[in-house]
Amino acid sequence: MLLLAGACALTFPLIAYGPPVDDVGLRSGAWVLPFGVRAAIGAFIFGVGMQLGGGCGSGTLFTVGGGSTRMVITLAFFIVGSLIGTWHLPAWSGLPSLPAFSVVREYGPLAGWLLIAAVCGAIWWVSRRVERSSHGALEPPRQGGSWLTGPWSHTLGVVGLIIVSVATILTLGRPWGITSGFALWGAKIATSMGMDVTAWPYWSGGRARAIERSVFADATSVMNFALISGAMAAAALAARFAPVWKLTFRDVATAVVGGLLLGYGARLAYGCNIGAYLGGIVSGSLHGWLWGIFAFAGSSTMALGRKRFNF
Amino acid sequence: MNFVDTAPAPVTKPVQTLPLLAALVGFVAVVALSTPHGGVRYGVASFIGLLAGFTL
Repeated sequence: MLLLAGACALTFPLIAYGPPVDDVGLRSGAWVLPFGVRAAIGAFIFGVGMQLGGGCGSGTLFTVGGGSTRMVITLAFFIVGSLIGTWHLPAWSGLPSLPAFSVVREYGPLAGWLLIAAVCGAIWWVSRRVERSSHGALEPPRQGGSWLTGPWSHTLGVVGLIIVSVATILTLGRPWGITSGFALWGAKIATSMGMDVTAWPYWSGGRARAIERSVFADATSVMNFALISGAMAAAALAARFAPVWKLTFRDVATAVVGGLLLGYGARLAYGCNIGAYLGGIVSGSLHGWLWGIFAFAGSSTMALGRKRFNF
Repeated sequence: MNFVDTAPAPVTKPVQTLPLLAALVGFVAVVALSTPHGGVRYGVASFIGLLAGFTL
């Protein structure tokens, strides 16, 4: 909640008063998108996939960088699922949807931020009460270690992610995203294998040109590659880079199914917990919050299922 | 009987050189390969991505 309120305090003025970069009246490339049945189902599927795959969009990348061999499988099938999602996307069109709604556009940056801060505060307060009533006490905060070798305290991590979120908007003119890069990687691999994905509506215009260009011309992919490097460096500095080569059938099966669900869900729902959730919320868009609710529902459902059926 | 009268030294694991080197080479490669397409902007974006990986 501190991350969301802190990031919005910086991004809302940028969106309201920054240089114009789009033609819908918003500035600094805010992602304000309609949220409907398609996105709700996609976010729910993504939440289920997180439990099975073992991570989210950014989580998959940083655990790959940290040396997790299982997450390499999740990433591979995340890419496959993303590609299938781009293929199926037209079949999901036409479903009911709420219109795009931005608190920055409706109420202005200050009132919009006060609203977000109040919502974050309320969630923080309720979460504390629920945790106290369930476990008797709050989990103690993680003690931070060296900033270089870690572990970082949650507060330092929040500051880092706020810097990343704001710096991405300042540098690229839009929020931080991850999973569109996976779809592009899948499309490029499929094209190299002789498939004509440009026949699918998703891969038209600029996206079709992106397939022809180098993957290093895609800013999302560039950040993804650098993220893996950063995670690998952090793991090496903390002496925690430890690939595990022996995987059970269950490890592989859950990674495959989880990866497919993560990729497919992300394409239906505008992205992952970074692009759709964090990117939506720092843009002042309602769709970010709704994404969070449905992904949480999917993740909780699968967590209960795993507990119930012991897998 | 032997008594240990000093506190054990804290266990500090050494930095893993090879993965650290691989990460740095990978990062330099990303910067080198992306800046011809996006200029300084992509160089900065690479650094932001590196920070994201470090933070997460």
